[in-house]
Amino acid sequence: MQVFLQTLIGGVTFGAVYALVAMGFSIVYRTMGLVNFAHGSVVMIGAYAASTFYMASKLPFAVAIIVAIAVTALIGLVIERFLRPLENKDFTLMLIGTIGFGAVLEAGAVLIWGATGHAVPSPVATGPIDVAGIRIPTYSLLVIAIAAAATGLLALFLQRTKRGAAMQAVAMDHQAATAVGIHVGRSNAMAFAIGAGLAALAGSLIGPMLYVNPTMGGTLGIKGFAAAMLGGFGSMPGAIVGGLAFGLLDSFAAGNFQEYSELVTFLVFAVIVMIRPTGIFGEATVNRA
Amino acid sequence: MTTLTVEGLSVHYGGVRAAHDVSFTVEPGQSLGIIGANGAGKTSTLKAVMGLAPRQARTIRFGEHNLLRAPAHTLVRHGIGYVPEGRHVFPGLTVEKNLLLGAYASSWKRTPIDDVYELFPVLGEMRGRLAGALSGGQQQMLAVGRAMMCRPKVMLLDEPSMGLSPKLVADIAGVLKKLNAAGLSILLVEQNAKLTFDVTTTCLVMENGEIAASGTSAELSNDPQVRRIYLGL
Amino acid sequence: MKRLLWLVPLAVAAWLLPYGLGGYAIHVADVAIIFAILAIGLGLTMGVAGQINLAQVAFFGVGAYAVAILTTKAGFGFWTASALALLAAVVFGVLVGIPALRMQSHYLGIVTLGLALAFTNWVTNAHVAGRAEGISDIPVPSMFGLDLSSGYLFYYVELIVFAVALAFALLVTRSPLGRRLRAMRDDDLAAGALGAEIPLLRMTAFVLSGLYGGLAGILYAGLIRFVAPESFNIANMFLLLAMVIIGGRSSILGCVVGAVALSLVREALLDASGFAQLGYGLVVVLVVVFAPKGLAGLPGQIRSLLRGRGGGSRAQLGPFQPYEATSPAAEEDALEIREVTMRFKGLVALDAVSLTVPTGQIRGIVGPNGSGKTTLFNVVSGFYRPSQGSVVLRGHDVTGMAPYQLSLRRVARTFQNLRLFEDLSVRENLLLGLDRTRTSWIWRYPSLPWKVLGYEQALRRRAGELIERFGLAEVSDAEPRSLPYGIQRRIELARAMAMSPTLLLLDEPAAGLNGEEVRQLADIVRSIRDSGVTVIIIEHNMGLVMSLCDQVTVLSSGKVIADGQPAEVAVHPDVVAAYLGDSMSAPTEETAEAAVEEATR
Repeated sequence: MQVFLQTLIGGVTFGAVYALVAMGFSIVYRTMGLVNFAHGSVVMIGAYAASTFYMASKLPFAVAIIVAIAVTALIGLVIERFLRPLENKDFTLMLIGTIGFGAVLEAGAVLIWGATGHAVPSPVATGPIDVAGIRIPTYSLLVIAIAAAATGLLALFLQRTKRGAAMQAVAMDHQAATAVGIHVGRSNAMAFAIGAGLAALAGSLIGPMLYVNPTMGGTLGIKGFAAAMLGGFGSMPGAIVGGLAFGLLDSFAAGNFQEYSELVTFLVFAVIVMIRPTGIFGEATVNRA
Repeated sequence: MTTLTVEGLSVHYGGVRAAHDVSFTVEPGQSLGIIGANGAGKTSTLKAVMGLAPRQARTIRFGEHNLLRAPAHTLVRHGIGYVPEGRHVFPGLTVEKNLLLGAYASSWKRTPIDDVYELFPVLGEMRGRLAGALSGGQQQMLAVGRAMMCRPKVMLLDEPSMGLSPKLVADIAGVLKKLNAAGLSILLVEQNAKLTFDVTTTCLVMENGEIAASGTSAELSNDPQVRRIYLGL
Repeated sequence: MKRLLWLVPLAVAAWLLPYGLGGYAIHVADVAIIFAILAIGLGLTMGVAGQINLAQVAFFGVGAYAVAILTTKAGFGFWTASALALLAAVVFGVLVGIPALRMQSHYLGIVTLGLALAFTNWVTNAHVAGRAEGISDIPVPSMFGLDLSSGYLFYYVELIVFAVALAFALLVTRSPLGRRLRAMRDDDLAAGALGAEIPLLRMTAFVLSGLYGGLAGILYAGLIRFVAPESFNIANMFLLLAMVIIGGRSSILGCVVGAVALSLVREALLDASGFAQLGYGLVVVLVVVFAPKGLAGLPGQIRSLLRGRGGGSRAQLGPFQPYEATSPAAEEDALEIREVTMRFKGLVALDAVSLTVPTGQIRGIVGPNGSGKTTLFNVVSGFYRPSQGSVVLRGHDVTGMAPYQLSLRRVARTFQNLRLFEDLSVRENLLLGLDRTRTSWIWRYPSLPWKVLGYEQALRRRAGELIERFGLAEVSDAEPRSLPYGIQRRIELARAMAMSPTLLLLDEPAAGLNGEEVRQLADIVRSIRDSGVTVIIIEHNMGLVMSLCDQVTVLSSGKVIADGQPAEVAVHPDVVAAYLGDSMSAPTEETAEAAVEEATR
């Protein structure tokens, strides 16, 4: 039981980060139909930017995160601008283009920070909290809290503000959105910047939990993408549920299959999406005719 | 005054000609109808006026505004309301959000939303529901209500009768007449000739992308040419 | 095939190459050939068949690891192990390909990538695979008593394998199978309607992928005689992808050029691998945006750029040569639809629709927008399975059959918004219609390749006749997208007739045509009917419907509201109401008859 709960907490912590990554994928996909395979690399850049800034400047972790978000939002805008001619046209080409961008970012990270990577000290000094014999790391609580807060803010933005409503409207029907006076291009750019910002947040948070290195983006990106798919691609609640589900799957696989966890995780994932390709909240757009 | 003037408008999709050399004006307070069978180019004409279809034209003006230069999303600021074919409400947003988005270009503090609820009481009752869960007729009212939210001077409607029962079509006709009587100019594109003759004073008939006939609605309702175009007789 | 003659001097050069190379250089050449084989496999699945397969490097790994494990742990000889390894790679390919039956595009990409990661995870941790250290000491393969540890001798083995692999890939792409794969890539619905068995074709693509991956893996194991996880990681998958994209994914020769070029570049930049990676990434992005067809597409791109300035001549349709009239042996009805209801999530698109079409008739289906006409076609051609009711074709119940099955039962259709394969020439579009083989016919490719070539010759002859008949000679080698709309409509009609149907479904064939073209269309459809084909036509141009159809069925809100002679139907009060709104003054019987007479004169 204790082991189970311990694994659960680990799973939820990683799940919260996957959910952030998945939300980034989804918000970009649903507003502009772009599947950003470079998203994982943006997460990695975010992790590097935040950790480097945090360790070098001795400023609070929160400031480092904000710097990282600014950096990646900029990168996101550049990617969007570059691939704009392909939007809503050739899906495969766009997909390959973003894979190319991912490689560029990864190579850039190797050139700037070296291939070996670095460990990031935990920004929270206090030890784990003991609840009925289960040790909950304080940093886990922080991660879950920040992820929840970010999700809440995003939901608030989408639900309560004019721009948020406009962004949703563009996602649902861009012609009707244009007709009521919404500038679709501006809305898309904002979606992309938010997506990249979420990636940076995820990267910053996961830095102290993992070893920050140039190849971490590949795995994180694939897991975030898989989480988005599990929940239903393009759906925000789906991204959250999918992220948590994938985090749990991941940590229980790690608990029960040790080094083979990745193998088990992806096999289970493949079987689940075979049975239900649209995910939990997804619409039926998998097999694009 | 704010007259909508269209001269020499042509629409091409790839190699396909959808509309050719279409000209008309909608005077302030006037209601103009464009009828024709499916594929006659009516929807393309309306979309082209809104800047939502590839177009060539000598003139598209609304009052002093040159709409040929204006990006599509700015038209609403000049007082042009648009009700697209097939309604195109935002299905995942509430009725109220849909209406508010109709006023996207202006402040959300002072919108005519209460007037819309007064005109369509059913929308007021359903303000918290998702638009996608509404019936076809309610969605059509929502689409009209959304277009009213920008306090338009002219309203462009594309086949509001599509898929509606005769009773609902009559309701829509009533609303449009009421709005027109209150001073709103109307440009109505319809396949349903009966509805169009009922609502408008002047009509154009389109066939194969061109204007085949025009006249007062009363004249056209007895014109054999209209029947020929619709029924092949 | 004559166009490939220029490969001969290249082959001779490749044969003589080792004489000019040192020991290390020949090793580089050996590696380049292995990547070229891998790239062919990826080109076939991704470029030709359009399946986003990001597990090619895992197929490569399965081949190499299988050889390593079977020779070092199970004591098999190198060549026995190779045969088994090839089988293992193909089986793995099929397993990875199964998700493709349910999903496509980026979904498929992520699942295959996940499975590739699962493979690396396994070899890094499994004892039998030597964990992170890998497996060394793979025995030296020998052949006819020759020790192949020399890079020079191995080069010739590789070269022969490569030549066979390349020849097979070219055979596949230039024959009915490759055409169907490309058709499936461009538009799987239309391909299905033309008789392509989509699930089997997708699996075929993955079998090919596994085959080439396994082959490359075996050669790799024989050449390096050491396998370790990092040779098969995601970074190498990206390198492989870059080769295929830069070379031109839909051209097999382009893939080879890309693979060889990038292998050499990688070797040259070994000391600056960080910058090399950056470079590959940038080049891939640039290629995707500016030269989507890669190096292989550049000549065409330049040509069209040069021609674009010149204005280009407008293509002309030749006259249609009518079919020979046969008197139909009309014993049974061509099609009977019984009480078909089609529901989509609460929306009733068709409501207990029944109609019977006798053999040799031209039946018109008309009705306002959204009345369910196209849905009816989709049910008859197998795209939708009706919620209730049945579809009977010449006395046989065909309800719920897949489009390809109906196509093989000689039901052909066209689409409302033209579904021609844009990246295939007009001739290839027609060849797809002419090819009536089941996909299981592909067993002939490995066993009887000359039969494939013979069949292709026969198809091409018949395509020539069809092109003549439909007056398409002038445009036969153009891509449909470059042609005027009226010609594209004619091509789609010709493609449907290529299937020698007994039932032809035309969905708004006159949409977008001018008056003269509509007249030609009517003549063609009449000639088709006179040759014994039953035609059902959805059309909004009422003049055409009145003059062309023997009988007209009117749908409104998913229900049949009238059925009968054109003149009767046009004056039916319900029809008038559906079209004009209710209580419009209806035209009288006499004016209707007069008008029909006029139209048919």
